[in-house]
Amino acid sequence: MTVMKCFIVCNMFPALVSNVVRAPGLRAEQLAFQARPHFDQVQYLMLRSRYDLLCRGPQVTSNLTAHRDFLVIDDARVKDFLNRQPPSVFVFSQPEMAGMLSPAIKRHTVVYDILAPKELELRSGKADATQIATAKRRHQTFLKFADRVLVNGEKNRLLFESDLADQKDVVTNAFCPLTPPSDSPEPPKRDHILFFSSAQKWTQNTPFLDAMAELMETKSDVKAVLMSPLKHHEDPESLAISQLIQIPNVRRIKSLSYPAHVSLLERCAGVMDWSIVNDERVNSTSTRLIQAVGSGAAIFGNAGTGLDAFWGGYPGATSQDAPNAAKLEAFIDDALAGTFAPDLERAGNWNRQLLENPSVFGGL
Amino acid sequence: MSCVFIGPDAVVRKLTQPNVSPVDWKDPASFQKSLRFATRLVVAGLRGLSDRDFLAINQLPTVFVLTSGVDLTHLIMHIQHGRLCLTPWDRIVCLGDVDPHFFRAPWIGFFNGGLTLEPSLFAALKETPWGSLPAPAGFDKIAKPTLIKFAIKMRAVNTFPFSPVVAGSKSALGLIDCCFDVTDAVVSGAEMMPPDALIAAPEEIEATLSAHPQATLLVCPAIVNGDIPMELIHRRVALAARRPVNLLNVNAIGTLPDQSVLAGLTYELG
Repeated sequence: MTVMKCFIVCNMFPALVSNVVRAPGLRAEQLAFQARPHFDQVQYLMLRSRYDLLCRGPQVTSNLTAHRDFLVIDDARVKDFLNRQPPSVFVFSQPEMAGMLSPAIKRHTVVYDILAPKELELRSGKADATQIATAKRRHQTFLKFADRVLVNGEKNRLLFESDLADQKDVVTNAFCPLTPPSDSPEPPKRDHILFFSSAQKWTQNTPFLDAMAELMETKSDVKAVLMSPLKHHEDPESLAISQLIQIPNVRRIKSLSYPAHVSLLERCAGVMDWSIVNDERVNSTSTRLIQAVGSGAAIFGNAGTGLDAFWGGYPGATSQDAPNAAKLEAFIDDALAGTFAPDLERAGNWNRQLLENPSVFGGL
Repeated sequence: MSCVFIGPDAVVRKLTQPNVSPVDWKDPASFQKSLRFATRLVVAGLRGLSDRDFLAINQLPTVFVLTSGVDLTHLIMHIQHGRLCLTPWDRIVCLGDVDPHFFRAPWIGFFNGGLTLEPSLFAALKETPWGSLPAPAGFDKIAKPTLIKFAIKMRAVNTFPFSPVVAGSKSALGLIDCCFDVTDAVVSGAEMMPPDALIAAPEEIEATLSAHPQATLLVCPAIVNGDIPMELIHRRVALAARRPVNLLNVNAIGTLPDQSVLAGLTYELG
C-alpha cells in the first residue's frame, strides 16, 4: 500500500519549528491543517539554501526546534529526493522555490498557492526591473505547470482573472492562520488596544498615527500597545511615533515572538492598523488583522482592501479616508464595551468553515 | 562618603527642601574637583546631561530622579543609545507628580529599591552608602564599571529579531539591563506574556527553568571559579532543561580580585 503524502514547500518557518513567524509561515500551517484530512502524511519542506539564509545574521537565534514534520533538503539532493518519493502532492506557497518545480512536475502533483500579488508588491516597493521580471516569469511558469491553483480571497481572484482564465482547477482559499490553544485556564480580560506602524516600504499610515497621538494625549485610561520599531527622522511617521512614545499609557514594543504575540492578542479588545489605500493595498489581506480576528479581537482597518470579502462583513470598523481622533475613539470605546461580539462570532464561524473546507485539497 | 548632585539649580533646590540640608553642595567652579572625591551621584533632570556626565555616571552608583515624563523619555533614549546602563547599584525615584505606574517602562520597578523622595532619603544618603539591589550571589560585590563592561558585551550578543519577553527571579532581574537592552525587552510578569528568554544565576537554574519551561533562551550571568566551574553550569542547564541545549556564547569579562572570572553564558534551549 502506498502512503499518500503531501509536502508544503516553505520559504518561511512555520510556528512548529520557530518562534519567528511571518505570513508565509502562517499560511503554510493553514495549508498543512487543511491537507491533513486528505493525506496520510503532511510535511513541511525547506531548501537548505533558504534555511541557511533565514538562520544567518547577527541575531542571537531563530529559536529553531527540531520536528519530524519539518524537513530541510540540500539543494543538490532535491532531484534524488523527488525521485525517491512515491507520487505525492507538492504545495508551493509563493513561487520562490522554482528550482524544485521542474523535477516535481514529472511524477508529482503540483499545487500553486498565490498568497499575495508578488509582482505588484515589488512594483509598489520600487524594486528593480530584473527582480520584477523574475517574479513575473516564475509566476507564469507555476501557472503553466500547476495542477491546481489556490487564491487568497475573492479580490485576489479578480486581480488574477486574466492569468487564471485557462486554469482548469482554481480554488479560492482565503488566508486564515490557526489559533494555537490557549494554556491559561480562563480567558484573560480583554482590556488592551494594539496598533501598528507601517510594515512595508509601500504602506503609509502617518495620518492614522497622527490621529492616534492626538487621541492618546487625552485618553489616559486606555492601555495601548504600539508595535513599531523606532523610525529614522527622515521617515514621515517618526514625528507621530516620537509623540506617542512619550505618552504614559502607550507601550512601544518593537515586535514580539509568535507565542508572545498570540498571548498579547488574547488580551486585546481592539487591534488597529490603517494605511492609505494604494495600488497594492486594494488587494492586500493584512496578516496582522487576520491574526487578530482569529484570536477574537475587533479590528479597525481601511475600507477597500482585500479584507472586504472576508468574514462576510468586517468584525469592527473601517475608514475610507484618513481617520480622525473622534472616529478612533468611537471604535476603541465600542471594542472595549464588547459591541462587536456578534460580528466576531460570525467571523469565527466563517474561519472555521474555511479551515474545514474539503474542496481545497479534495480530489488530488 | 561624598555625594554629588548633577542637575539644574531649581530641581536640586527642590530636592533638598524642606528641612533637608544640601549634601556637600558645591558651586559650579569646584564641581570637577568635588566629582573627584565623589562616591555617589544624584542625577536630577536627565535632559540636562552632557556627554561628559556619562563618564562619571558610569563609574559611580547613581540615583536617577525623574522630574517629569520627559526625563523618562531621556532615560530610555540614553539606554537605547548605549550611553547608560542600569546596574544593581542604581536607583530610580520619581519626583512630585510623575506617575509611578510605568506602563510604558515596566522595568523601572526593578530599580526603585524602596526609595521614595522624602527627607529621609537624603539623610540616608549622607550617613550610610546605599548598597547593591538584591543581585545573584557575588554580583553585589562587583563594582559598577565592571558591570557596565559586562553589559556592553552582553547587549551586543543578545540581540533578537523581536523584543524578547524576559523572566527570572527577583534578584536576577536586577541584571536585566546588563544582559539585554532593557528598553527593548518585555517584562514577562508585569506584562503577562510567556517568556522567550530567562535570566538565571547558576544557583537558580533549576528553579527558573521549571517555572518557565517554554522559554527558548537562557542567559546565565556567573562568577566562574573552582567551586562553580563552567562544566558544572553546563551540566545543570542540560539536566534542568530536559531538551537539547546549545551553548551559543560565552562572554568572559575579566578576572575578579579573587581570581574568579566574571562571565555571561547564553544558552539556546530546545
